[in-house]
Amino acid sequence: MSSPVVPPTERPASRNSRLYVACQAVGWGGWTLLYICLLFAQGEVLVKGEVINKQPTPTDLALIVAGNCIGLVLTHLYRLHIHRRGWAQLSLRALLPRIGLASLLLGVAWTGLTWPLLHIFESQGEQTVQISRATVVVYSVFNGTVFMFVWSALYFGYHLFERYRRSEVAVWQLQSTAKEAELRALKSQVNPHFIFNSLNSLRALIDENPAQARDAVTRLANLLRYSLKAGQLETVPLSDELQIVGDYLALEQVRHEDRLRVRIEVSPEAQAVNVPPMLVQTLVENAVKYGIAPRREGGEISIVGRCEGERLLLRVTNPGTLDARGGSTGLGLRNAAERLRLIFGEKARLRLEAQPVGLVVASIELPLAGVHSTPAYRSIPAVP
Amino acid sequence: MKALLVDDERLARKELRKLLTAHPHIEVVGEAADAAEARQAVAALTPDLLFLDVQMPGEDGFALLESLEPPLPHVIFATAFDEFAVKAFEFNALDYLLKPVDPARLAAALTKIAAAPAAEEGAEPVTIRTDRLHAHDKVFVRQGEQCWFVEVRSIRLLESEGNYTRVHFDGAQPLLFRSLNAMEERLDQRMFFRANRRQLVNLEWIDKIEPWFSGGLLVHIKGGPRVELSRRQAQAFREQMSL
Repeated sequence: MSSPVVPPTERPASRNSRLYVACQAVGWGGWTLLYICLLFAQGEVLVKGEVINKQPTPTDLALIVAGNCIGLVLTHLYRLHIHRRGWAQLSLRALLPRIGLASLLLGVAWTGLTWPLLHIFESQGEQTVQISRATVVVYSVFNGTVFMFVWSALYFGYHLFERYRRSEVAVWQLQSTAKEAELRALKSQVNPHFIFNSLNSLRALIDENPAQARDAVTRLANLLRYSLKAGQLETVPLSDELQIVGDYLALEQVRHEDRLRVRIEVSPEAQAVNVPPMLVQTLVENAVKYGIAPRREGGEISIVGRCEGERLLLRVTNPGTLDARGGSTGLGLRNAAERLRLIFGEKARLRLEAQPVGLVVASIELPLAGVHSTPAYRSIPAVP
Repeated sequence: MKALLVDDERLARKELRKLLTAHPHIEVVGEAADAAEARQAVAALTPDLLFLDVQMPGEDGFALLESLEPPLPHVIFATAFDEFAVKAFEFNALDYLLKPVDPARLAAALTKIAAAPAAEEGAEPVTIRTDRLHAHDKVFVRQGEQCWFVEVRSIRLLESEGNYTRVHFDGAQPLLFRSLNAMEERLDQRMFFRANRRQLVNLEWIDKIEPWFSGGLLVHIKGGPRVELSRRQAQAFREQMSL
């Protein structure tokens, strides 16, 4: 499914990994150092859950470091699991029980893994205090569980914040896309210069040829109605579009008279194909603007369309060169190309090229199918 | 008053002609469909008034005006919808009509022309054309999207820049596509003095004059630049001013 919204900027995976490694190193390293410093400051040692007054021995330090290394490995395995299960995408409600259970299991595992170490050192140490094994285990598991829960809170806190930030960006991008689409819809309306020139010609035509004047009024009305409606329609049959293009060209012929000649050859099967409204109209308007209006002698505009395989091929040709368009920004064509991209993705093509014989050809290629599977385009509000 | 209609659309010319029948003092002497035809018609018919479409095949209305030898006839632009052009017109209070033309707007524009000072000389256009430009005659200058009809007497200084001439007047110094020598030939020598090879000064705009190095003069122009005169030119200047 193609989407008009650019996916919100995600941090690259390598950057995320680096951040994770740094956090783990700083977190565990810092925690170990802090623990050792506290030991030296207080002159107390926690042995199997019992506080004893004595100076910490190298054995105690080794125990702390070893225990924390096991913790580090456990949290790393925990993270692999989180990744594999995609926990970062879960909602807070789904996440909390999972974190709780995971923390408990990790607490148990941590205790279980550090237990043999304690045992080894126990045989060497001079133990004076007798505590029940069960108490020590419960104490150790509880400690580990709380610790793992805090680790999870930090880990998922960061991810939730990132997710929130990204969704904000996505909403903002969606809004601006919708706005651009509205703007484009406005821009694809009939050129006001043309409308007022036509009305001016019509005033003269009313005296000169009342029948032709009445006809021109009808055509102008058709064109305006169609262009107003075009913003709300996704696609129309090519035959509808050509009807309007015909009205438009007839009105231009009122203005330019014999300077404008028109040839339309579109096969019946091509006429049935659905196209975005105002697409052909935009190309034809451009052809008149750059191919006929600036030339004293005028020329011919041809519209040729046919189906080839699974594609519609449509060409609008006018006399002239591409240099003649040097001063223009090509806004109309750019908008048309953008509209095609939104609807058809990469399957449609719009090209403008000069031919050596002094013709400029605008060609469109559209897929015959797939016009209706366009949720992206439909999601854009037509009129607010 | 003789009027020439310039528009690439036959129907647009016809419409304007019909609207002008309500103003019998305007006589439509000809029509032109593009700039080249218009140039010939202006030379042959010497109209007092041009109705000029902005968009035309080939050269547009502005380019036509730039190419016409001053003094220019009165000009009323006609355009369908062109934000930039309309902005330029409004900025300079030029006359323009929006198509389709509102008869009341046309009447107002024609009244404005009747009241314009240049209309006094309008009675003898042929003699003026061969003569030098008068103080009230206008020169058309365009730069980018802006254009001006500059009255000759409001030009303070003309400076040569290659084939172009920079025209200094109130608040602007656009380039005119005409050489300084060509301009000098068309201007009244009693009003404009050739200060040096590059500069032509309007004597009416001189603010003060002070002695300058080696017998030269430094001329201050009101609200504008200063111009240096060499000893030889200072001599000529003194002679002219002492008359």
